[in-house]
Amino acid sequence: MRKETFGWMLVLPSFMYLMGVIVVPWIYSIYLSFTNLSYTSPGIVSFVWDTNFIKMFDDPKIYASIGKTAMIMVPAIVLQMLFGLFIAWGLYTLGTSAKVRILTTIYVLPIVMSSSVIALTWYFILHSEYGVLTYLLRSFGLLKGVSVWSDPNLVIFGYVLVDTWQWLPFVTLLFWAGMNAIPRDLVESANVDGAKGFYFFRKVIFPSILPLFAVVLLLRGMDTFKIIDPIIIITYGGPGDASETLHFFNYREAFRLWNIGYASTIGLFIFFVVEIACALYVKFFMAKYVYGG
Amino acid sequence: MGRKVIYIVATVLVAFIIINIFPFLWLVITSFKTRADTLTTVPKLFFEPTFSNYISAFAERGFTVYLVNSLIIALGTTALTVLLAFPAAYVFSRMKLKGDNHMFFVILTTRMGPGVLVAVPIFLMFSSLGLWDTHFVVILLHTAFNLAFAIWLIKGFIDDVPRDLDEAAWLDKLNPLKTAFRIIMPLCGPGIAITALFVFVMSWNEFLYALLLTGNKAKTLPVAIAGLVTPHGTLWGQIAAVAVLTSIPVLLTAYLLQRYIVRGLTFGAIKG
Repeated sequence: MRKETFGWMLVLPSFMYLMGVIVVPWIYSIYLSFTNLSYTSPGIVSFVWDTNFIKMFDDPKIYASIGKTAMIMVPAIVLQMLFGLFIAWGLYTLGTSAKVRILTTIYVLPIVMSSSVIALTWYFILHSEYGVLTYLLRSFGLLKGVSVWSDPNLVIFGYVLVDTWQWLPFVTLLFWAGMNAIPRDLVESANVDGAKGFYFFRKVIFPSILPLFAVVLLLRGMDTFKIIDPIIIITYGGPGDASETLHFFNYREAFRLWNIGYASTIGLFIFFVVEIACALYVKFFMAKYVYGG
Repeated sequence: MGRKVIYIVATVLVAFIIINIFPFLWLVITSFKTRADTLTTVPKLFFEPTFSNYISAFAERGFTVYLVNSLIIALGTTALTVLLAFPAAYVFSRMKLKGDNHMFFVILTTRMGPGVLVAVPIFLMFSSLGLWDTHFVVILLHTAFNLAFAIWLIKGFIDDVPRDLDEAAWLDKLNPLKTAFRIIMPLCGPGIAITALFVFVMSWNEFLYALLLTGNKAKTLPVAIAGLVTPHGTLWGQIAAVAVLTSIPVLLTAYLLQRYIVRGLTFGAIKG
């Protein structure tokens, strides 16, 4: 009993810290979302109850920004999961010699780079006039007279590319580690049975890393849904509102238009969408693989 | 698998990885170019290298201040996170507390809210206290978002230390706090160092909170470089120079961590 009490005392500081710095602000946000606090339209701050929520569900910009978020999120995740699997499989077939380790060390560089540095790098290499990648694409006859960051349709594709470049190594590395953790005897008995090539991948490798696949998909889904750093840095939601994702819309309402009440409502909305999606995903899909059962 | 297949796979992968790292190489190249050499329609591969971008960014534009800010914030975050996380990790490793199998979901939950959701109330509270644009407020938030991750990662390392040690310590009437800090902590020094490096990298790189909670005094490097982009005449050479210098410490850390990267990224789930 005494040990248990001590145990709680050691966990308490971390617990209180998370309550104070994350949970209290969340509760404060709930309060704010019921008010009309705004720094651009002065007036008496008052409780407006569900006004912000009604406004949000009537706001066509919300739906447009969800659409744009999905247009970045879906292709980015499909590319990352698909290429991640195949590159990891390629690395796996090469074994774990020193040469392969050097190769992966170079490959995983983007994992430890700041999202700010990555965004600026891509801003520059796809720059309309001085970008080296723009130049290369134009010399192949692509991007004639347009550029990625100034074209309302291409800009979405640009962010798919940036997100994929930043996160594909992360996804690959996890899959690769998962594959290397497959028990030797399982691999050997499959080899004895003559399982080869894609059949081996489909029957042995993929089922073995399925739990990991489920976790990685969840993490990437959560993060990409909230994509914002490159958007603030490169096009600031533009051109026009072509790259205004949901989180960026939230940011603009809060820190540019200073509609604090409304911004808190949108923030809570994003939080609950992610929370509910994750809870359902964990309950119905992941629980089966991760916790057994 | 046939030798031929292996060669094909190796060639394709090497080619892909070289292409993949090209944007970073281009950044490094750009950092040594003069302004005239960066602003050419046909990109220049050969040019006379110059250090002027590095010199002017740090000597004239005051990036040394931002470098120091980044260091203070990343080191402060690392120290605070490890200090808070270690005792908690010890408990989760050694004792069966109610609900600790929900840790995974708790970790996820701290990552679920959009950054703006926490930043708005923190911004309001800390501006009224006059603490906006201080190292303190950024450290506070960076620690909050790394804490659950650090607890889980350190727990994995403590799991590797034999339990007999603390049983013996408890028999000697050492309380769990002393056991944790005097007996266990020295034994998982490498694990704690690895966790600390991960936290350092994440804090060093973080952009959104640093952007929203600092003005000019406590601005960090990732925020400061982004501020170099202007509608008229962006100095790409300088941006590249600062970006390269921002990346060097984390690249070195990554090199030190290579054996443990997988373990860190999976929150200790895969021991790699």
